[in-house]
Amino acid sequence: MEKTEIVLQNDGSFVERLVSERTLNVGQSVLDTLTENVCRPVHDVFNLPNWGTVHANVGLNDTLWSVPLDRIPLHARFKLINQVMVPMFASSTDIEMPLVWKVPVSVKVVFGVLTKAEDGFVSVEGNWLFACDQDKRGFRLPLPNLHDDCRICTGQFEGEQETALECVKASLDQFAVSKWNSDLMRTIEQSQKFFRFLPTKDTFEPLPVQGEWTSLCNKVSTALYERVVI
Amino acid sequence: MSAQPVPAGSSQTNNERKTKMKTITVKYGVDQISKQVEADFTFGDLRESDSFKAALGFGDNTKALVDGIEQNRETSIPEGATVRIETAANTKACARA
Repeated sequence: MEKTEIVLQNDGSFVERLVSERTLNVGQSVLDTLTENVCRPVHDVFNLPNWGTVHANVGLNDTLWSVPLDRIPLHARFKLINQVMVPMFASSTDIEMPLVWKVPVSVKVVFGVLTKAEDGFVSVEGNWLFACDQDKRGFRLPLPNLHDDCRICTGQFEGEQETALECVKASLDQFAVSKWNSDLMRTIEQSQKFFRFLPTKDTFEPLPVQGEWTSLCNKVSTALYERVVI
Repeated sequence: MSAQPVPAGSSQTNNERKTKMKTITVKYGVDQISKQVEADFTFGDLRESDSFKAALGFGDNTKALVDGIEQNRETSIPEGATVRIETAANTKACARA
C-alpha cells in the first residue's frame, strides 16, 4: 500500500512524502533472534515432594529452575565449642554428622538448577545456592563448595535425564546426600557464626545466626541470579 | 581510584586543571551509585576502587559490563555511562563426594 503525505514545514515550505507499506512475513527464526535474551519467569511450575514448589525462568536456550529452601542439609564434620555444635569443614578428625540447618525467616535461600534441552534428553548445566534478603539482594552463604558466583559443587551425579523435572530432582537428591568438605572454603569463623546447633537430649536444635546474617556473607550479583524466581 | 569533584568557579592549580571529571553510574545487583571520577578512570580502576566496593559491596572477583557487554580493564569509562558490576565465576577446582 502506498500513500502520499503533504507536509507543511516550519519554514512554510511544502514537502511531498511518499510512504510505502507492506506486511512482512516475520518467521519464527526472526522472532527467536529478537527475543534471544528475553526470559520469562513462571511461578509454581511443579511441586517436588520434600522440597516444595519449583519456579522457572524460561529462556530461549535454557531454563533456570528456582527451588526455595527451608533447610540446608549439612552433612559435614562438627565440633562442640562452648556448648554449641559448629561445622569444621577442614577437619578430618572431628565427628561427622548429617545435621539439617533450618533457614531463618529473615533469610531466603534458593537452590538453582539450570537445564538445557538436548536431542532426546535434558541436561543439568549447573547448580547454584543463593541467599537473598527482603530486597532481593543476592548473597553467597559462608559455606565451602560454593564458587564466588554461588555455583555449588555437589559432586558427580547423573546430569542427563528425560525431563527437566527429573533434572531438578536429581540435583536436589545429590545436594541432600553429598558431604561438605573444605574446597573453596573461606574463613571458618563466619561459617561457625552462621551454622550453629544446640545439642539437646535427643537432637541438635539449630540456633539463630550470630549477628547480622548479611555481614557474614558476600554480596553477589550475576546475570544468572537476576533470573532467580523467588 | 576516585577523586573528589572540583566545585564550579573555584580556582584550580595546574594539577587540578588537568584532572577533569566525569560522572558514571555503577550498579551492583539492586543497588546503584552515581559518582564523579577522574576523566581517565577505567573499568579496571572501578573494579579495584575501595570507595565503590564499600558503597556497593562487591569484592575482588568481578567483571564490568556496559549494555551486557564485558569491558576491558584498560578501557576508559565513557562520560555518563552506566556500568553493571557482576560477580565473576572463579575457576578453582572443587571435588565433592
